[in-house]
Amino acid sequence: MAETERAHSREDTLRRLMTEYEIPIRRMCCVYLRDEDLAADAVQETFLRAYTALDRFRGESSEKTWLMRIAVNVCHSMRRTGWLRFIDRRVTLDQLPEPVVHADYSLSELTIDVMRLPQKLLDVVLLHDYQGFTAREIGSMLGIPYQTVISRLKTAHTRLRVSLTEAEKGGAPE
Amino acid sequence: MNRRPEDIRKALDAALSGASHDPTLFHRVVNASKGDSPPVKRKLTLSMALVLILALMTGTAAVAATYRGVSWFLTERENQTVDAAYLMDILEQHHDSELLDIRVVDAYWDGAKLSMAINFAPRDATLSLGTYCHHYEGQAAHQCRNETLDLLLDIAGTGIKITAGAEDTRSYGASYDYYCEEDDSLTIMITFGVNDMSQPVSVMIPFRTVLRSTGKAEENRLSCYLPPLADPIAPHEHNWAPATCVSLETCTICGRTQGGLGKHNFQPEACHVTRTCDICTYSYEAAHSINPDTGSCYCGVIH
Repeated sequence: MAETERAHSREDTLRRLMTEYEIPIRRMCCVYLRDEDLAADAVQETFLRAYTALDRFRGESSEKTWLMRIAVNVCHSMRRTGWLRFIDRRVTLDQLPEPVVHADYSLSELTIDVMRLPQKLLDVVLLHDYQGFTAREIGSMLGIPYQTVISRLKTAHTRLRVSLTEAEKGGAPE
Repeated sequence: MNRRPEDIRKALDAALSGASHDPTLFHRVVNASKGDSPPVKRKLTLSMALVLILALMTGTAAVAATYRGVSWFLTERENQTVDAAYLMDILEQHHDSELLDIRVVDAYWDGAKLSMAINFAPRDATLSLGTYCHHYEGQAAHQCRNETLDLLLDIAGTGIKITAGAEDTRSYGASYDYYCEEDDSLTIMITFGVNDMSQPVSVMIPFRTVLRSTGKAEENRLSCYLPPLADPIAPHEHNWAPATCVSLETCTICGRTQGGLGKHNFQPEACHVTRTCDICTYSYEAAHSINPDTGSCYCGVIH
Protein backbone atom coordinates (compact mmCIF):
# COMPACT_ATOMS: atom_id res chain seq x y z
CA MET A 1 0.00 0.00 0.00
CA ALA A 2 2.76 2.36 1.02
CA GLU A 3 4.57 1.43 -2.17
CA THR A 4 1.55 2.39 -4.27
CA GLU A 5 1.24 5.69 -2.47
CA ARG A 6 4.88 6.40 -3.03
CA ALA A 7 4.51 5.65 -6.73
CA HIS A 8 1.56 8.00 -6.96
CA SER A 9 3.49 10.65 -5.15
CA ARG A 10 6.41 10.31 -7.55
CA GLU A 11 4.07 10.51 -10.51
CA ASP A 12 2.48 13.63 -9.08
CA THR A 13 5.90 15.16 -8.67
CA LEU A 14 6.80 14.25 -12.25
CA ARG A 15 3.57 15.76 -13.50
CA ARG A 16 4.28 18.96 -11.61
CA LEU A 17 7.84 19.15 -12.87
CA MET A 18 6.63 18.69 -16.42
CA THR A 19 3.99 21.37 -16.05
CA GLU A 20 6.54 23.84 -14.77
CA TYR A 21 9.68 23.01 -16.69
CA GLU A 22 8.84 21.10 -19.85
CA ILE A 23 8.63 24.18 -22.03
CA PRO A 24 11.87 25.84 -20.84
CA ILE A 25 13.69 22.54 -21.19
CA ARG A 26 12.22 21.87 -24.62
CA ARG A 27 13.31 25.31 -25.76
CA MET A 28 16.83 24.78 -24.48
CA CYS A 29 17.04 21.42 -26.20
CA CYS A 30 15.76 22.88 -29.47
CA VAL A 31 18.55 25.44 -29.48
CA TYR A 32 21.16 22.88 -28.52
CA LEU A 33 20.16 20.21 -30.97
CA ARG A 34 18.62 22.35 -33.72
CA ASP A 35 16.12 19.67 -34.43
CA GLU A 36 12.63 19.48 -33.03
CA ASP A 37 12.49 15.68 -33.05
CA LEU A 38 15.87 15.30 -31.38
CA ALA A 39 14.81 17.89 -28.85
CA ALA A 40 11.71 15.82 -28.11
CA ASP A 41 13.97 12.82 -27.48
CA ALA A 42 16.15 14.91 -25.21
CA VAL A 43 13.19 16.19 -23.22
CA GLN A 44 11.91 12.67 -22.74
CA GLU A 45 15.36 11.46 -21.72
CA THR A 46 15.74 14.35 -19.30
CA PHE A 47 12.47 13.63 -17.53
CA LEU A 48 13.14 9.92 -17.59
CA ARG A 49 16.48 10.43 -15.86
CA ALA A 50 14.91 12.85 -13.41
CA TYR A 51 12.04 10.48 -12.67
CA THR A 52 14.43 7.61 -12.13
CA ALA A 53 16.56 9.72 -9.79
CA LEU A 54 13.70 11.49 -8.08
CA ASP A 55 14.29 9.72 -4.76
CA ARG A 56 17.91 10.75 -4.79
CA PHE A 57 17.19 14.43 -5.35
CA ARG A 58 17.93 16.01 -2.00
CA GLY A 59 16.99 19.56 -2.79
CA GLU A 60 20.54 20.86 -2.59
CA SER A 61 19.81 22.94 -5.64
CA SER A 62 16.52 24.16 -7.02
CA GLU A 63 14.45 21.77 -9.09
CA LYS A 64 15.00 23.96 -12.12
CA THR A 65 18.78 23.87 -11.67
CA TRP A 66 18.70 20.12 -11.25
CA LEU A 67 16.57 19.54 -14.34
CA MET A 68 18.55 21.96 -16.45
CA ARG A 69 21.75 20.24 -15.48
CA ILE A 70 20.31 16.92 -16.62
CA ALA A 71 19.02 18.47 -19.84
CA VAL A 72 22.37 20.05 -20.64
CA ASN A 73 24.10 16.72 -20.04
CA VAL A 74 21.61 14.91 -22.23
CA CYS A 75 22.05 17.44 -25.02
CA HIS A 76 25.84 17.29 -24.78
CA SER A 77 25.66 13.56 -24.93
CA MET A 78 23.33 13.54 -27.92
CA ARG A 79 25.53 15.98 -29.78
CA ARG A 80 28.56 13.82 -29.18
CA THR A 81 26.99 10.59 -30.26
CA GLY A 82 25.10 11.60 -33.36
CA TRP A 83 25.07 8.37 -35.32
CA LEU A 84 24.86 7.82 -39.03
CA ARG A 85 23.84 11.36 -39.48
CA PHE A 86 25.35 14.18 -41.30
CA ILE A 87 25.12 17.11 -39.02
CA ASP A 88 24.12 20.12 -40.97
CA ARG A 89 25.84 23.04 -39.39
CA ARG A 90 23.87 25.51 -41.37
CA VAL A 91 21.75 27.21 -38.80
CA THR A 92 18.28 28.35 -39.73
CA LEU A 93 15.15 29.09 -37.80
CA ASP A 94 13.43 26.30 -39.72
CA GLN A 95 15.18 23.92 -37.35
CA LEU A 96 13.06 25.26 -34.51
CA PRO A 97 9.37 24.66 -33.94
CA GLU A 98 7.12 26.92 -35.98
CA PRO A 99 6.95 30.08 -33.84
CA VAL A 100 3.65 31.54 -32.79
CA VAL A 101 5.23 34.92 -32.17
CA HIS A 102 7.11 36.38 -35.10
CA ALA A 103 10.18 38.38 -34.21
CA ASP A 104 11.55 41.16 -36.36
CA TYR A 105 14.50 40.52 -38.61
CA SER A 106 17.19 41.66 -36.21
CA LEU A 107 15.96 39.45 -33.39
CA SER A 108 15.82 36.49 -35.74
CA GLU A 109 19.40 37.15 -36.76
CA LEU A 110 20.37 37.35 -33.12
CA THR A 111 18.75 33.97 -32.48
CA ILE A 112 20.69 32.43 -35.34
CA ASP A 113 23.93 33.92 -34.06
CA VAL A 114 23.25 32.51 -30.61
CA MET A 115 22.61 29.08 -32.14
CA ARG A 116 25.87 29.33 -34.02
CA LEU A 117 27.93 29.79 -30.87
CA PRO A 118 30.31 26.99 -29.98
CA GLN A 119 28.90 24.68 -27.38
CA LYS A 120 30.84 26.07 -24.42
CA LEU A 121 29.68 29.58 -25.13
CA LEU A 122 26.18 28.44 -25.96
CA ASP A 123 25.99 26.74 -22.56
CA VAL A 124 26.59 29.93 -20.62
CA VAL A 125 24.51 32.19 -22.85
CA LEU A 126 21.49 29.90 -22.66
CA LEU A 127 21.77 29.36 -18.95
CA HIS A 128 22.59 32.94 -18.03
CA ASP A 129 20.93 35.19 -20.56
CA TYR A 130 17.98 32.99 -21.38
CA GLN A 131 17.26 30.91 -18.30
CA GLY A 132 18.41 33.54 -15.84
CA PHE A 133 20.83 31.47 -13.79
CA THR A 134 23.64 33.25 -12.00
CA ALA A 135 27.24 32.68 -12.96
CA ARG A 136 27.82 30.77 -9.71
CA GLU A 137 24.84 28.50 -10.38
CA ILE A 138 26.08 27.89 -13.91
CA GLY A 139 29.56 27.10 -12.62
CA SER A 140 28.06 24.55 -10.29
CA MET A 141 25.87 23.06 -13.01
CA LEU A 142 28.64 22.74 -15.56
CA GLY A 143 31.39 21.94 -13.11
CA ILE A 144 33.53 24.87 -14.12
CA PRO A 145 34.94 27.75 -12.04
CA TYR A 146 32.98 30.95 -11.64
CA GLN A 147 35.67 32.94 -13.44
CA THR A 148 35.46 30.62 -16.43
CA VAL A 149 31.73 31.24 -16.66
CA ILE A 150 32.32 34.99 -16.60
CA SER A 151 35.05 34.71 -19.19
CA ARG A 152 32.89 32.59 -21.51
CA LEU A 153 29.99 34.98 -21.13
CA LYS A 154 32.24 37.85 -22.04
CA THR A 155 33.56 36.02 -25.09
CA ALA A 156 30.05 35.08 -26.17
CA HIS A 157 28.81 38.64 -25.81
CA THR A 158 31.75 39.90 -27.83
CA ARG A 159 30.88 37.46 -30.60
CA LEU A 160 27.27 38.50 -30.47
CA ARG A 161 28.06 42.18 -30.43
CA VAL A 162 27.21 42.75 -34.07
CA SER A 163 23.86 41.05 -33.75
CA LEU A 164 23.14 42.84 -30.52
CA THR A 165 23.93 46.16 -32.08
CA GLU A 166 21.51 45.36 -34.86
CA ALA A 167 18.94 44.24 -32.32
CA GLU A 168 19.24 47.51 -30.47
CA LYS A 169 18.70 49.39 -33.71
CA GLY A 170 15.62 47.24 -34.16
CA GLY A 171 15.65 47.27 -37.90
CA ALA A 172 16.58 44.99 -40.70
CA PRO A 173 19.83 45.70 -42.47
CA GLU A 174 19.50 46.85 -46.02
CA MET B 1 25.10 47.04 -23.49
CA ASN B 2 22.56 46.73 -20.68
CA ARG B 3 20.06 45.36 -23.13
CA ARG B 4 22.11 42.34 -24.02
CA PRO B 5 20.49 39.67 -21.88
CA GLU B 6 17.05 41.09 -22.50
CA ASP B 7 17.60 41.11 -26.24
CA ILE B 8 18.83 37.55 -26.24
CA ARG B 9 15.91 36.44 -24.10
CA LYS B 10 13.47 38.34 -26.27
CA ALA B 11 14.91 36.88 -29.45
CA LEU B 12 14.92 33.31 -28.15
CA ASP B 13 11.47 33.66 -26.61
CA ALA B 14 10.07 34.68 -29.95
CA ALA B 15 11.98 32.08 -31.96
CA LEU B 16 11.03 29.31 -29.57
CA SER B 17 7.45 30.37 -28.98
CA GLY B 18 6.28 27.36 -30.96
CA ALA B 19 7.62 24.88 -28.40
CA SER B 20 4.59 23.41 -26.71
CA HIS B 21 3.71 20.78 -24.14
CA ASP B 22 3.68 17.23 -25.36
CA PRO B 23 0.54 15.64 -23.88
CA THR B 24 1.94 12.13 -24.23
CA LEU B 25 5.25 12.87 -22.55
CA PHE B 26 4.17 11.95 -19.04
CA HIS B 27 2.92 8.52 -20.03
CA ARG B 28 5.93 7.84 -22.19
CA VAL B 29 8.32 8.69 -19.39
CA VAL B 30 6.44 6.64 -16.81
CA ASN B 31 6.12 3.69 -19.16
CA ALA B 32 9.77 3.92 -20.17
CA SER B 33 10.81 3.93 -16.54
CA LYS B 34 8.92 0.66 -16.10
CA GLY B 35 10.45 -0.76 -19.24
CA ASP B 36 7.04 -1.08 -20.92
CA SER B 37 7.89 1.33 -23.67
CA PRO B 38 11.52 1.71 -24.57
CA PRO B 39 12.66 5.29 -24.90
CA VAL B 40 13.28 6.62 -28.36
CA LYS B 41 16.98 6.09 -27.95
CA ARG B 42 16.59 2.34 -27.63
CA LYS B 43 14.26 2.18 -30.59
CA LEU B 44 16.86 3.91 -32.68
CA THR B 45 19.50 1.48 -31.55
CA LEU B 46 17.34 -1.35 -32.77
CA SER B 47 16.86 0.23 -36.16
CA MET B 48 20.56 0.96 -36.32
CA ALA B 49 21.34 -2.70 -35.71
CA LEU B 50 18.96 -3.66 -38.49
CA VAL B 51 20.57 -1.18 -40.81
CA LEU B 52 24.01 -2.55 -39.99
CA ILE B 53 23.01 -6.14 -40.60
CA LEU B 54 21.40 -5.35 -43.93
CA ALA B 55 24.31 -3.19 -44.93
CA LEU B 56 26.70 -6.00 -44.19
CA MET B 57 24.65 -8.23 -46.42
CA THR B 58 24.70 -5.78 -49.27
CA GLY B 59 28.24 -4.54 -48.96
CA THR B 60 31.02 -5.47 -51.36
CA ALA B 61 34.61 -4.44 -51.48
CA ALA B 62 34.27 -2.13 -54.41
CA VAL B 63 34.42 1.56 -53.89
CA ALA B 64 31.27 1.96 -55.92
CA ALA B 65 29.55 -0.37 -53.52
CA THR B 66 30.77 1.74 -50.66
CA TYR B 67 29.02 4.61 -52.24
CA ARG B 68 25.84 2.67 -52.67
CA GLY B 69 26.13 1.43 -49.13
CA VAL B 70 26.28 4.94 -47.82
CA SER B 71 23.41 5.91 -50.03
CA TRP B 72 21.42 3.05 -48.66
CA PHE B 73 22.22 3.98 -45.10
CA LEU B 74 21.12 7.50 -45.62
CA THR B 75 17.98 6.46 -47.35
CA GLU B 76 17.09 4.30 -44.41
CA ARG B 77 17.35 7.28 -42.16
CA GLU B 78 15.47 9.52 -44.48
CA ASN B 79 12.19 9.23 -42.71
CA GLN B 80 13.73 9.98 -39.38
CA THR B 81 16.01 12.92 -39.34
CA VAL B 82 17.91 13.34 -42.56
CA ASP B 83 17.26 14.31 -46.10
CA ALA B 84 18.98 11.66 -48.17
CA ALA B 85 19.07 13.62 -51.39
CA TYR B 86 20.66 16.56 -49.69
CA LEU B 87 23.18 14.39 -47.94
CA MET B 88 24.14 12.64 -51.11
CA ASP B 89 24.74 16.02 -52.56
CA ILE B 90 27.09 16.76 -49.69
CA LEU B 91 28.85 13.47 -50.26
CA GLU B 92 29.33 14.35 -53.88
CA GLN B 93 30.91 17.55 -52.85
CA HIS B 94 33.10 15.86 -50.31
CA HIS B 95 34.25 13.48 -52.94
CA ASP B 96 36.21 16.30 -54.44
CA SER B 97 37.09 17.59 -51.00
CA GLU B 98 36.00 21.04 -51.97
CA LEU B 99 34.57 21.53 -48.52
CA LEU B 100 37.05 19.67 -46.45
CA ASP B 101 40.78 20.01 -45.89
CA ILE B 102 42.20 16.62 -45.05
CA ARG B 103 45.68 16.43 -43.59
CA VAL B 104 47.64 13.63 -42.07
CA VAL B 105 49.10 15.63 -39.23
CA ASP B 106 51.04 12.84 -37.67
CA ALA B 107 51.92 9.25 -38.38
CA TYR B 108 53.78 6.74 -36.32
CA TRP B 109 55.07 3.32 -37.21
CA ASP B 110 56.40 1.25 -34.33
CA GLY B 111 57.26 -1.86 -36.29
CA ALA B 112 53.91 -3.52 -35.67
CA LYS B 113 51.28 -0.89 -35.69
CA LEU B 114 50.58 2.11 -37.79
CA SER B 115 49.01 5.09 -36.08
CA MET B 116 47.86 8.16 -37.85
CA ALA B 117 46.30 11.39 -36.77
CA ILE B 118 44.15 12.81 -39.49
CA ASN B 119 42.80 16.29 -39.32
CA PHE B 120 39.63 17.32 -41.07
CA ALA B 121 39.01 21.01 -41.33
CA PRO B 122 35.86 22.14 -43.11
CA ARG B 123 36.55 24.86 -45.60
CA ASP B 124 32.92 25.71 -45.35
CA ALA B 125 32.18 25.84 -41.65
CA THR B 126 28.55 24.99 -42.20
CA LEU B 127 29.21 21.30 -42.57
CA SER B 128 30.47 18.36 -40.68
CA LEU B 129 30.17 14.67 -41.29
CA GLY B 130 28.17 12.52 -38.97
CA THR B 131 29.36 9.50 -37.14
CA TYR B 132 29.91 6.51 -39.30
CA CYS B 133 32.91 4.41 -39.99
CA HIS B 134 33.38 1.72 -42.48
CA HIS B 135 36.23 -0.43 -43.62
CA TYR B 136 37.04 -3.33 -45.82
CA GLU B 137 39.37 -6.22 -45.37
CA GLY B 138 40.13 -7.95 -48.58
CA GLN B 139 36.85 -8.74 -50.23
CA ALA B 140 34.87 -8.75 -47.01
CA ALA B 141 32.94 -5.69 -46.18
CA HIS B 142 32.85 -4.68 -42.61
CA GLN B 143 31.14 -1.72 -41.13
CA CYS B 144 31.35 -0.59 -37.59
CA ARG B 145 30.01 2.06 -35.41
CA ASN B 146 32.27 4.14 -33.31
CA GLU B 147 30.70 6.70 -31.09
CA THR B 148 33.81 8.76 -30.80
CA LEU B 149 34.41 8.92 -34.50
CA ASP B 150 32.59 11.62 -36.34
CA LEU B 151 33.68 10.95 -39.86
CA LEU B 152 33.14 8.67 -42.72
CA LEU B 153 36.29 6.63 -42.91
CA ASP B 154 37.33 3.81 -45.17
CA ILE B 155 40.46 1.82 -44.63
CA ALA B 156 41.55 -0.57 -47.29
CA GLY B 157 44.69 -2.36 -48.25
CA THR B 158 45.96 -5.83 -48.83
CA GLY B 159 48.73 -5.35 -46.29
CA ILE B 160 46.47 -4.51 -43.40
CA LYS B 161 46.05 -6.90 -40.56
CA ILE B 162 43.43 -5.41 -38.36
CA THR B 163 44.35 -5.90 -34.74
CA ALA B 164 42.83 -3.16 -32.68
CA GLY B 165 39.24 -2.80 -31.64
CA ALA B 166 37.37 -3.64 -28.50
CA GLU B 167 34.31 -5.30 -29.93
CA ASP B 168 35.48 -6.75 -33.16
CA THR B 169 38.94 -8.13 -33.74
CA ARG B 170 38.82 -7.00 -37.34
CA SER B 171 38.13 -3.44 -36.39
CA TYR B 172 40.77 -0.83 -36.32
CA GLY B 173 40.96 1.40 -33.34
CA ALA B 174 39.90 4.97 -33.62
CA SER B 175 41.23 6.04 -30.32
CA TYR B 176 40.05 9.56 -30.03
CA ASP B 177 38.66 12.41 -31.89
CA TYR B 178 39.81 15.83 -30.99
CA TYR B 179 37.57 18.71 -31.80
CA CYS B 180 39.36 21.99 -32.11
CA GLU B 181 37.14 24.98 -31.60
CA GLU B 182 39.74 27.34 -32.97
CA ASP B 183 39.38 26.19 -36.54
CA ASP B 184 36.37 23.93 -36.17
CA SER B 185 38.45 20.99 -37.23
CA LEU B 186 38.42 17.42 -36.05
CA THR B 187 41.44 15.22 -35.58
CA ILE B 188 41.15 11.49 -35.19
CA MET B 189 43.80 8.98 -34.35
CA ILE B 190 43.52 5.61 -35.95
CA THR B 191 45.72 2.65 -35.27
CA PHE B 192 45.96 -0.64 -37.02
CA GLY B 193 48.42 -3.44 -37.43
CA VAL B 194 50.17 -4.02 -40.70
CA ASN B 195 51.48 -7.48 -41.38
CA ASP B 196 53.27 -6.86 -44.59
CA MET B 197 54.79 -3.50 -45.20
CA SER B 198 55.71 -4.40 -48.74
CA GLN B 199 52.04 -4.19 -49.59
CA PRO B 200 50.47 -0.81 -50.10
CA VAL B 201 48.29 0.53 -47.33
CA SER B 202 45.73 3.08 -48.11
CA VAL B 203 43.37 5.10 -46.04
CA MET B 204 40.45 6.57 -47.84
CA ILE B 205 38.28 9.34 -46.53
CA PRO B 206 35.78 9.05 -48.15
CA PHE B 207 36.81 7.38 -51.36
CA ARG B 208 39.98 9.39 -51.55
CA THR B 209 43.29 8.05 -50.49
CA VAL B 210 44.97 10.31 -48.02
CA LEU B 211 47.89 8.14 -47.14
CA ARG B 212 49.45 5.50 -49.24
CA SER B 213 52.43 4.45 -47.26
CA THR B 214 53.49 4.39 -43.67
CA GLY B 215 54.61 7.63 -42.23
CA LYS B 216 57.05 8.08 -39.46
CA ALA B 217 57.20 10.50 -36.61
CA GLU B 218 59.22 10.91 -33.46
CA GLU B 219 56.27 10.66 -31.16
CA ASN B 220 52.56 10.42 -31.15
CA ARG B 221 50.92 13.78 -30.71
CA LEU B 222 47.29 14.56 -31.05
CA SER B 223 46.37 18.16 -30.81
CA CYS B 224 45.01 20.89 -32.94
CA TYR B 225 48.06 22.89 -32.00
CA LEU B 226 50.52 20.41 -33.43
CA PRO B 227 53.89 21.93 -34.02
CA PRO B 228 55.46 20.80 -37.27
CA LEU B 229 57.62 17.74 -37.07
CA ALA B 230 61.32 18.33 -36.95
CA ASP B 231 62.74 18.27 -40.44
CA PRO B 232 65.26 15.50 -41.03
CA ILE B 233 66.91 17.73 -43.60
CA ALA B 234 67.18 21.45 -44.01
CA PRO B 235 64.03 23.00 -45.44
CA HIS B 236 65.72 24.17 -48.61
CA GLU B 237 66.96 20.66 -49.31
CA HIS B 238 63.50 19.19 -49.79
CA ASN B 239 62.57 18.27 -53.30
CA TRP B 240 58.81 18.23 -53.34
CA ALA B 241 57.03 16.04 -55.85
CA PRO B 242 53.56 17.40 -56.55
CA ALA B 243 50.52 15.93 -54.83
CA THR B 244 48.19 13.71 -56.77
CA CYS B 245 44.79 12.34 -55.90
CA VAL B 246 46.43 9.37 -54.17
CA SER B 247 49.51 10.91 -52.63
CA LEU B 248 50.42 13.97 -50.71
CA GLU B 249 53.13 16.33 -51.81
CA THR B 250 56.17 14.20 -51.08
CA CYS B 251 59.83 14.99 -50.67
CA THR B 252 61.79 12.68 -52.95
CA ILE B 253 64.80 12.90 -50.64
CA CYS B 254 63.43 12.28 -47.16
CA GLY B 255 59.98 10.93 -47.95
CA ARG B 256 58.23 13.53 -45.86
CA THR B 257 54.76 14.52 -46.95
CA GLN B 258 52.92 17.74 -46.61
CA GLY B 259 49.71 19.47 -47.63
CA GLY B 260 46.57 17.81 -48.85
CA LEU B 261 45.81 15.59 -51.77
CA GLY B 262 45.68 16.91 -55.27
CA LYS B 263 42.62 16.83 -57.44
CA HIS B 264 41.58 13.87 -59.50
CA ASN B 265 42.81 13.98 -63.03
CA PHE B 266 39.49 13.39 -64.73
CA GLN B 267 39.58 12.58 -68.39
CA PRO B 268 37.90 13.59 -70.59
CA GLU B 269 36.46 16.84 -69.33
CA ALA B 270 33.32 16.82 -71.53
CA CYS B 271 30.18 16.89 -69.41
CA HIS B 272 28.37 14.24 -71.46
CA VAL B 273 31.09 11.59 -71.18
CA THR B 274 31.84 9.55 -68.10
CA ARG B 275 34.96 11.01 -66.62
CA THR B 276 37.66 8.77 -65.24
CA CYS B 277 40.63 9.73 -63.14
CA ASP B 278 43.63 8.34 -64.96
CA ILE B 279 45.57 8.07 -61.70
CA CYS B 280 43.21 6.22 -59.37
CA THR B 281 40.61 5.15 -61.97
CA TYR B 282 37.74 6.60 -60.01
CA SER B 283 35.01 7.51 -62.44
CA TYR B 284 32.29 10.03 -62.40
CA GLU B 285 29.16 9.33 -64.38
CA ALA B 286 28.44 11.79 -67.11
CA ALA B 287 26.32 14.59 -65.80
CA HIS B 288 24.61 15.23 -69.14
CA SER B 289 23.78 13.47 -72.35
CA ILE B 290 23.54 14.36 -76.00
CA ASN B 291 20.21 15.37 -77.41
CA PRO B 292 19.88 13.22 -80.55
CA ASP B 293 17.75 15.87 -82.25
CA THR B 294 20.28 18.63 -81.95
CA GLY B 295 23.52 16.70 -81.62
CA SER B 296 24.49 18.90 -78.73
CA CYS B 297 24.47 18.32 -75.02
CA TYR B 298 21.30 19.07 -73.14
CA CYS B 299 23.24 21.67 -71.22
CA GLY B 300 23.43 23.63 -74.43
CA VAL B 301 27.11 23.21 -75.06
CA ILE B 302 28.09 21.93 -78.47
CA HIS B 303 30.93 19.51 -77.86
